[in-house]
Amino acid sequence: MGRVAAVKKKTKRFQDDDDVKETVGSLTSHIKNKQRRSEVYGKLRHERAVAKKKRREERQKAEAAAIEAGEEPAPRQIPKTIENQRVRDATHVEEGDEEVIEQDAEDEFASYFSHATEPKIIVTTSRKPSGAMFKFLENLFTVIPNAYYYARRSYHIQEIVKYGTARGFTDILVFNENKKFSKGSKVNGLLHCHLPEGPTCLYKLSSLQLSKEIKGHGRATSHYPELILNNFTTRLGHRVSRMFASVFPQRPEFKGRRVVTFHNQRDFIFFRHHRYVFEEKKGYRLPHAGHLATAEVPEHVKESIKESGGKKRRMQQGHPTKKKRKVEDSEDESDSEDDSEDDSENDSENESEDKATEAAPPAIDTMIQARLQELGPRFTLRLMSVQKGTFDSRHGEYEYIRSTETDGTRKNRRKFVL
Amino acid sequence: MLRLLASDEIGYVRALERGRRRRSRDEDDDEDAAAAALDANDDDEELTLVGKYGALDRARACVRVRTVVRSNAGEASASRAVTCARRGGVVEFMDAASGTRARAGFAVTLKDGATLIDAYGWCDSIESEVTKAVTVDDGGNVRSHAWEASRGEGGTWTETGAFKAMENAVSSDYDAHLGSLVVGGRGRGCDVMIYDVAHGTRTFKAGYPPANWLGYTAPPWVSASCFAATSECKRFFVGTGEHRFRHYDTRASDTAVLDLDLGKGVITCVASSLDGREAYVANARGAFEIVDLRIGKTRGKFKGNSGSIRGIAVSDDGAHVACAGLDQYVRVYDAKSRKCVASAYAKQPLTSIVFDSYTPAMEAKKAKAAKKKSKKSSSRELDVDVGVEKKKKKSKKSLVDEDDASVERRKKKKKSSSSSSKKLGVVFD
Repeated sequence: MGRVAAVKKKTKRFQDDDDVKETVGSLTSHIKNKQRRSEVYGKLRHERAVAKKKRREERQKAEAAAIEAGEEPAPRQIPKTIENQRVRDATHVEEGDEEVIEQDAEDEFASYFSHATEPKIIVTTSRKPSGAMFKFLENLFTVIPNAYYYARRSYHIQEIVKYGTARGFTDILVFNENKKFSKGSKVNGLLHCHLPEGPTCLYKLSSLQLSKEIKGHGRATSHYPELILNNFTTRLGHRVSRMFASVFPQRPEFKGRRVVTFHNQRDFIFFRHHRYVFEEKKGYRLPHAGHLATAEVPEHVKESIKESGGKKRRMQQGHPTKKKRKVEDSEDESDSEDDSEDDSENDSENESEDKATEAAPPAIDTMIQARLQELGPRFTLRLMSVQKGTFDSRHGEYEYIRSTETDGTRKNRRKFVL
Repeated sequence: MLRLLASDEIGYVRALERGRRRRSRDEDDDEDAAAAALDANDDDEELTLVGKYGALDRARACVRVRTVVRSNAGEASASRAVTCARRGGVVEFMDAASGTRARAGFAVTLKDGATLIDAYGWCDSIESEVTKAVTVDDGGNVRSHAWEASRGEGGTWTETGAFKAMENAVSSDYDAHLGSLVVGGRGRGCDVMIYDVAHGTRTFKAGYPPANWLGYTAPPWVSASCFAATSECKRFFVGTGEHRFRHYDTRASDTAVLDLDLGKGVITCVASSLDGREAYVANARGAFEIVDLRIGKTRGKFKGNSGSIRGIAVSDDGAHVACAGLDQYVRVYDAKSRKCVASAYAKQPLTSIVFDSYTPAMEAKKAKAAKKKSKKSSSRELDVDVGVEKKKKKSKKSLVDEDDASVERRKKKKKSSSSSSKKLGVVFD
């Protein structure tokens, strides 16, 4: 038997088995002769490419035929993404988990969600801040209401904690900056300490873009923003998201149409600040837009919609309750004041469910879309540690410390912590 | 079969189990087979949360869970009750199997803001439930309590003695057989001490540790302490808030015989291996290491914890070590290979953990032995220090630490093997 044939025979066994991935390389690696090996490799690759193309054409033909015939086409294949391949954490928070509800009722942030306390924030920096830091802070003050700047001078964080608690502050945000003579100064860290005894979170801050650098940016108003917390699925994520929520007042002014988003994806937390507006888009007819528009959405697809998807799609889905409204009422935004608070976590799940369970996409000519204008700064956070109690670098007790051993990310790249 | 009890921060005590097998019919007939089967490897089963005892009450959360020890001059039997020391001064005795009350608890009156740091319960007879207890609070007060049965089913706890060990106490360990308490606190004058609880007298006080290269000695902060098993309270381990691990030998000197710098965080718990030759040390950053006392260094780490570890438990046979902490996981490791053999998500940050000493195999053995009516006594070889001679001892008491309620039984001949005492055991520098 020739070599290619032998290798092919080996391949055939596995063709039907989706789980076993025989790569061409692994099939040819036993051939020692490089020239021969590369020949066989080339042939097999070509064969695979041809077969793949053929499969694709057949699929497309079948779909076109089904649409022609007026039948439902087969559901489209869903590509694997890192998000939908995610290994579900044991600490994943389910809806209505008793333990979580119990803990939430009594944790450090309960008083904010029950409107018993209002946030009052101290914003400060590392020692000797530079101009770049001040520019960033200017932006930041447009985002967070009720924030006060205090110069760091040379106070220790523990002293700031003490003074802040005494003066009735509820959170301290310390932004860290590193300075390099050659490259200038760069804001790269955030320490969020909740007072009086609350947890302390340390984040790495990256990809910072000030308002000025964002094309088409707008100017923030002083309305209290809405808060969107996306994709914080685990217990740790839940705790961190509550911590973010406690920085903003729990009475969003929907009239201001201002929204602050903390979107978690693969343990990166993206901070965005937008103004939104709902608009009718005329002359819009949904083509057969893949799995999003099928009348009957299968279970596994619903799951993937929930778990996958970039931030843009989520944001453009707009206010959840507005989706259900008829076209005529779209302009009336004052109704939103009756709506339930958006500040709780994960309204993205509601949004995508609405979209997925709609009977059929409107074949009519108008659709409500939310248009966004980016305001304030934009940055990415990465959680480094959560410390129980206020900041104490030497004697602190940690609820979570990020390390390659424990995260599982080194060993399993589909495991995430938040 | 593994069974653990872990207390959490909001007031519950959670039971976790692995490998509860049901007896098959032929095993019913043959006790030996049953016992063997139960002892068999049940690694393929997951550690699961099977019970949640107590009530949601953060103010009354359990600070410490300890097994109750029953001992009677030479024999020890691990009872299935556990002592729960709760914030606010309440001590409860819970049946490990069902979470119900094994014995009525009691409350210790504490000053405002004070809290219990530990409570130990034990009793002097094999059969009954807890009759004595010792509590330590963070003001350094040590109280002994005794249960007096009154007519009928009831009884009351009375305080039989109290003394102040030091200004403030952070950690302690108690050996019920010898009545020794090792206790340490934070601040000047609160370095680790050993007290004889019955008399309230101090039998050991730690000396000043040597200054570091700057000439500086940190003020004492004994954040974790425990007696070394098999040492009859002569040796004990201490973990400090400045991430130092110390091994004290009261026979040798009043300063530590081993002083190691471990990691960066406050050392939150320390436990002794079954043979007393290794210490398991865990800190507030999730590092969990094994210190081999003979070589004076760490032997290895138990990996996988991402949050502060609040409690360590060693199983009765010393083969498994479990830890629980603020990352809401219970992890069980094999002591020799340091691999994690089981882990379970326990849903709340945990404060303490203990192995439930019950194993069906043990019960079966007990039943068998009781049938045969053979005399049981336990013997243990004492480690002999160089230059220190031990007197001959006939039937030696089995030493049971609160941390590792270990029970070893060996059938012994009438005459004690007098040569055992002359053997050289482990030599400690």
